[in-house]
Amino acid sequence: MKKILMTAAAAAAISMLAACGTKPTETVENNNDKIQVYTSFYAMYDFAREIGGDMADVHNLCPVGSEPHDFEPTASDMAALTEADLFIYNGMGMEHWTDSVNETLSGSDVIIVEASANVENIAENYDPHVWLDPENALAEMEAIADGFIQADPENSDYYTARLDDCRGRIEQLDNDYKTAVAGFTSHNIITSHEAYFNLCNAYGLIQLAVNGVDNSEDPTPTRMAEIIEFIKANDIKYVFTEPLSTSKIVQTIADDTGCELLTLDPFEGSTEDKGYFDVMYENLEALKTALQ
Amino acid sequence: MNNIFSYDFMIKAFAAAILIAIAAPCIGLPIVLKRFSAIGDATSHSALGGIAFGLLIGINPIVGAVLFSIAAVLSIEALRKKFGKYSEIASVVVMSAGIGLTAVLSGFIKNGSSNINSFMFGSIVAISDFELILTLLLCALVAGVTFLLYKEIFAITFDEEAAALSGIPAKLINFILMLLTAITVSVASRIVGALMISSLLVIPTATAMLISKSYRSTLILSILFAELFTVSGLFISYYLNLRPGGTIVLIGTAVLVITALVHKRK
Repeated sequence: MKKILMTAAAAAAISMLAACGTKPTETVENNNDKIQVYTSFYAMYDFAREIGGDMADVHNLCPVGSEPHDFEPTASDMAALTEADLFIYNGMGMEHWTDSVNETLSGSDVIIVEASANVENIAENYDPHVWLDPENALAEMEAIADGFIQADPENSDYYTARLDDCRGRIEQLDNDYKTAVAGFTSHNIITSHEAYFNLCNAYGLIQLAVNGVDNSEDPTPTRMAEIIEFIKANDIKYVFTEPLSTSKIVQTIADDTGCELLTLDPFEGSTEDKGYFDVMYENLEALKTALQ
Repeated sequence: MNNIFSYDFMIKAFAAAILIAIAAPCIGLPIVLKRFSAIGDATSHSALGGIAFGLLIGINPIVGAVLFSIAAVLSIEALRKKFGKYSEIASVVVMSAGIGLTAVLSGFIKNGSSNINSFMFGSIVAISDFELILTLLLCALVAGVTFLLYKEIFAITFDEEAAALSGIPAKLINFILMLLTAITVSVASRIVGALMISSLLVIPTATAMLISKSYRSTLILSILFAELFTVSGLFISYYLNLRPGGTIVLIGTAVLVITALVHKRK
């Protein structure tokens, strides 16, 4: 009997500790006038804050550093989502988990935006990282702005003005890329994650990737050998990794071929709160180093 | 297709595979004979929790794996006594705890959550020099202990009580064996993968047991089988464009089934 009581007491203590550990979800309280916007992962979060500015509270679901491809929302995420005004996700298979979220939200007042719905330049293999082509990023921002206007029509002028501002910066970005690419002597990039079809499509580059499009598959020995042969045959000097996942495989390839590592960011997350334009310009600098 | 040995990464893969294939059966034989083959799975899943913990607090994940694996084998030993003749429950309980810890801890990793995948299935094609040295040390340790404590380990695997009565420090030997299991699983999780290592512990031993009769010949034969599985697995995965870890395990199970069918039990 004593033993049972002790066990019960221990269990109670553990559950109390656990309860203390949970942070109160700041997101549930909704005592200001701002619209509540939830986004599936960092790129969508950044676009939503570009458009929403001071008028919206934007919350990101998939924590930075987790793979957006494999994320599962927690129960408290789902509870918060049902109270939201707007839910924004990329689509095209980027986030496998949004189907069940959308099903749960269907019939509620939450406005759901699939940002990639009007994107025109789609890579042959439906690479979902469409925002790496600036034109596509603009199409996503337009879809997101439509969602904001639908959720908060009173402030439609504000959102339209912010979208126009983005449009100008996108044009500038696209021009800077085009100018740089004109000076490239090589067009082959070796990447750790097969995420750059859209970038390659837009600027005539060719990608050879070590891991698959959802960044979870290590290559077979055959594939490793192919990549090493390609690097040797094309006299490639740099291999690209990602800021959020250090790949042993890419390190091995670099060691075996004498290549140096550079960072190319698919903009799935940022631990330093970087924006889309910052990351795209950093990527451009890395590409210049490798290809000029 | 180029010569398989023209690549540094393949040469390292073969070296690591050959070393692991010596160490794994040395541990595998005593744990199988002790009716304890599930300990590999329980330990490797706990090792995954340790890897997640290591990635989370920023220490070398193999160190995290060693710490958690040792905790796992010690908990199994402690729990086993509570359940008497249902002692296999202990492994399942510890394995469940390991899976739970891995799932919860990996949710907090800010940097490199995809790394967890490479520990589940191993990265035998991407072995660093440090990992190769670690594997060499592991192999030397396990083979050395197996050689030096040959009689003692042999005695406790068949009858712990009789061994204790004849003056062998059974508890100490048992503890050393558990410790070696933990370390082997942790190091091997980086090479062949945490989900694969328990098969390398058990399948070569099981195959050898079908054929040979003495402890010594089973040990030698199980090492030869392990070498056959890993080396042929690497060749086949290179020429047929397959994942190496899974290929090695499938060859092992196929050879085991064929051996069982061909060899008539006497």
